[in-house]
Amino acid sequence: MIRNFLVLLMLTMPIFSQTIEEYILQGKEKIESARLQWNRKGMLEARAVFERLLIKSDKDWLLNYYIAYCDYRLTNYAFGENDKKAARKYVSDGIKKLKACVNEKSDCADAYALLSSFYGNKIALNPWSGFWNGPKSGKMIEKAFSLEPNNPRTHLISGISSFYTPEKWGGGKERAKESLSKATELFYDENVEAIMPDWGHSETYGWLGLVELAMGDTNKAIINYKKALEINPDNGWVKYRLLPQIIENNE
Amino acid sequence: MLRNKIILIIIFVISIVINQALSYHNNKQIGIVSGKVLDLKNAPLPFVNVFFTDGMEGTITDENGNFKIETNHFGKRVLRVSHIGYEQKDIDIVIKKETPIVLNITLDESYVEMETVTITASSFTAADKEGQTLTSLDVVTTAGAAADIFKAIQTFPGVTQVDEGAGMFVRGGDVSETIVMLDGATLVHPYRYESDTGGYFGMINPFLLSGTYFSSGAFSAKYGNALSGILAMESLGMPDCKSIDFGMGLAAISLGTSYPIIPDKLGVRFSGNYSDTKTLFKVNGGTEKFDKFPLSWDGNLSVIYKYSNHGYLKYFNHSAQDDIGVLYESPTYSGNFISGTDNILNNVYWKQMFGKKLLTKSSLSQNRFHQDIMVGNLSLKNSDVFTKWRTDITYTVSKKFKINSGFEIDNTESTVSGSYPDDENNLHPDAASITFSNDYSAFHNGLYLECEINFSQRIFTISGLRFDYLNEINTYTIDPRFSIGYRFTDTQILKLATGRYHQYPKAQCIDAHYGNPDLLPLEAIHYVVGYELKSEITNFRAELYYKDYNELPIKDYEQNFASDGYGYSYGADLFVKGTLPLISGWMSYSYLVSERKELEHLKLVPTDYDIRHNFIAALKSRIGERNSFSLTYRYTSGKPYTAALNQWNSDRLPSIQRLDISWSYFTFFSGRNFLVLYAAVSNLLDRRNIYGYRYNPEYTERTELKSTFGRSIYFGFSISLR
Repeated sequence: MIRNFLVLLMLTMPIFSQTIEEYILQGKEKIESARLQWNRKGMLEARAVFERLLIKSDKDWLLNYYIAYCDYRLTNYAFGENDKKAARKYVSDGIKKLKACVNEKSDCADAYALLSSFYGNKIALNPWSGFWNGPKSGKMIEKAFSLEPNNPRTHLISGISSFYTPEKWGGGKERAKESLSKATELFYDENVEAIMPDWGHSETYGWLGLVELAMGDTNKAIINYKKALEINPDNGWVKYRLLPQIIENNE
Repeated sequence: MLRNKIILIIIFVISIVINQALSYHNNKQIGIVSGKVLDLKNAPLPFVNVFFTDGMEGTITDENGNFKIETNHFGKRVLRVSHIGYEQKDIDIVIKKETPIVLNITLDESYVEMETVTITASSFTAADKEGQTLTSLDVVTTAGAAADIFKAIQTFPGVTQVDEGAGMFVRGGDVSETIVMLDGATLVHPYRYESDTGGYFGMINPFLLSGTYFSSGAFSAKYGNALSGILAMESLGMPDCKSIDFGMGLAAISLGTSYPIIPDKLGVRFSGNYSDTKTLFKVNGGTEKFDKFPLSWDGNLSVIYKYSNHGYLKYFNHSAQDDIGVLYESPTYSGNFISGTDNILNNVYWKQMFGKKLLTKSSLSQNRFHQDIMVGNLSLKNSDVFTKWRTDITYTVSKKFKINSGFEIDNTESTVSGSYPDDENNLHPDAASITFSNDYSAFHNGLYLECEINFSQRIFTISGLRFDYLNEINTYTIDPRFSIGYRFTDTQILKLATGRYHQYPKAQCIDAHYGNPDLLPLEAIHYVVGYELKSEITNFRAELYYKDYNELPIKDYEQNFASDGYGYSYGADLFVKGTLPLISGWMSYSYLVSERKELEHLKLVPTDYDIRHNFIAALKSRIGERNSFSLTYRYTSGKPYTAALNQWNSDRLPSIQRLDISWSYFTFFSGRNFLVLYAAVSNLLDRRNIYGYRYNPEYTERTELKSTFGRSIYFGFSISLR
């Protein structure tokens, strides 16, 4: 009887002590919610959660990864607002966090893929730095592929990179389409622990749609955007920007 | 059964009531911490992370920088305030029941997030890193630099080019006053086709390097036995992919490979270059008449073993050989000058991080050099063996305070033998000559201690002290050095630096028979004032300097040499590097006055390298994605020469102008493999610049020393397979 009493007491008590895993899951939800709503403040709040967790966790590499992932999203917001100073800070912090991540867990393919993307951002900030950041970005994505050839996010990031890289320099729309299509296949089969990175499924279709559009196939673009919304009906990027844009242009 | 269920429901209700009561009690006794976070300009900082370090309680500031945290954990706690780009702050507070705490918190901008500041004045760093001054690619795409790092650095201010060679004459200092290091090892003979103005090329290929630090003055206490400049290079680290590079040009062929044997653990790099200039001279002509066209080869091997995430060992070997036979013409003698050189460097380099704060770098190296020279009745055989151990230790106390310390111990064994003409103006092979043989041995050690302090976000200082001892002249020197940087805006820095520098006299000057073992170390005191503007697309630097030289060796009839020479140099260096959408590159201008009473110059006169005005524009442009063009223009005012007996350096040669252009085409194939085609036209204006005169002893006749080439071409290709 006393046992029953104690269990019920605990169940009804306010939550004072959550596990690290629970906090990580909450942080992930915050990121996803901020990302879907294109909410900079929300993303900073999510980042703050992971930063607080760093003090008490033994999963530093994962927390550093998520902080860098927030930085990656924040960099996109900064680019959107043409705030290069902020973008530079997020890129620099993201690289630092990912280096800390791979220093602890040298086989983290997701971290290498994101690093590749950050070096790509550096090129966007200073096109001439492509001379040295281009090869660095290439090496990082290669490393990610060598560690986990079937990681869908590596294919996604590789596809985005190809989309922005001219064909002559090893990129191009065809390559982008190839990588993104591969990513979409891999996302369906992906089965990772809840606390591990699993973002990008719906987003990949958004990018695939963009590539199709750039290749002149509006119908395929729309199909892909719709698929993105099937997977996540709250994907604000596709719902409020990509799809309305394409419809507006068609009209 | 029913009874049990009823009891459970009752317990559930009681539990809720108890919890509500507890919760109410806690809410009644809540602690509140609130406040505002501001930057140094008192502007509110939005979205700053404010949290307690002992849990997950925290918040982020709102758009106006305000925050509020409610807690029911009382007592001593630490509130952390953290924001990207700002220094994190920890604040100790005591939370008491029902006593709100209001804080106004100011955050400093972070050091690490801001552009790296080179605190030391007069220095340039070169690495494949964003924001650095010169990358390996800059070196190879600078027209006229012949893919030579020394020649590329000659396009920087403060370095005077006295002829077409690679010699580093820095701010009114002789070529011997700049020391060249690789991974901590000293390259005693850093030039190929060595001459008294340095040599025609640098010894190390830029593609072997991951970074280069060049300082033209007021450098730190880390470096000793150098009066004017430092060129410290670092060789490439662990290869991260297999690669094969092959290149072929009009006068050279090269092959290089890198191979990660155990990825990220053990890797090897090898490269070899062979150069035969016969075809180059056949195609382009040239003023020199060769008996043996300049021919050289070099091989480089490095093995890198990364035994942990905190340290690695690197073995580096560089072996090089060059030969040349060229007609030597002077008013008194014409004949072949023949020279052959072997140069081998072996270095074991160890880098280790102990914990998070202590970094050590050690190098054990040996540089063996042998040279044979023959012209007429002059014949010299010179062998040097230079062995050195150097260790550098850096202890990072905090972000604001760092201690550097280290030592070097080196030993020089040198032999010079051969014959020299009895009458120094008669080189005829049949003329009388005197044979000689000389051994020189010296043991030197140096020790330094240096503190880097960032007093605030704006003020940085480096203070150091250096001690050196040379057994050969039984003399020690103590050199204090200091530099301060003041960042008065985010992009502008003012720098002041000063220091005392010593260098030991050359071996022949302290030889017991031909020199004077009582000579003192040469001394220079540097004063530098600099301004730097670093923006996204431009890097501008302006520096003024003054160097005071003392204890310079001077010819003395009784003691052979005496330490009674002196001199000074002063000048201004301007440098601007920019990146625009279509064009990038840099321009530099140096004004220099350098006068000394030294060696044969028995009164204060301009030095041989007192070149008053030096202007260089090194510009590059990419056309499309594959083609890039580069252009280097150089104007150098005339250097002094002696036109009459004892009228040292009283006249000046005509000014020198030179325009070099180059083109390269870059394309990827089959993935990440790439091909580069290139072509260059040197001395496009076809100016036959005069670099000096050779006189007869009476100064009645002279021969001109002119540019080796008029307008000349060079072309080739390179392939990289990855």
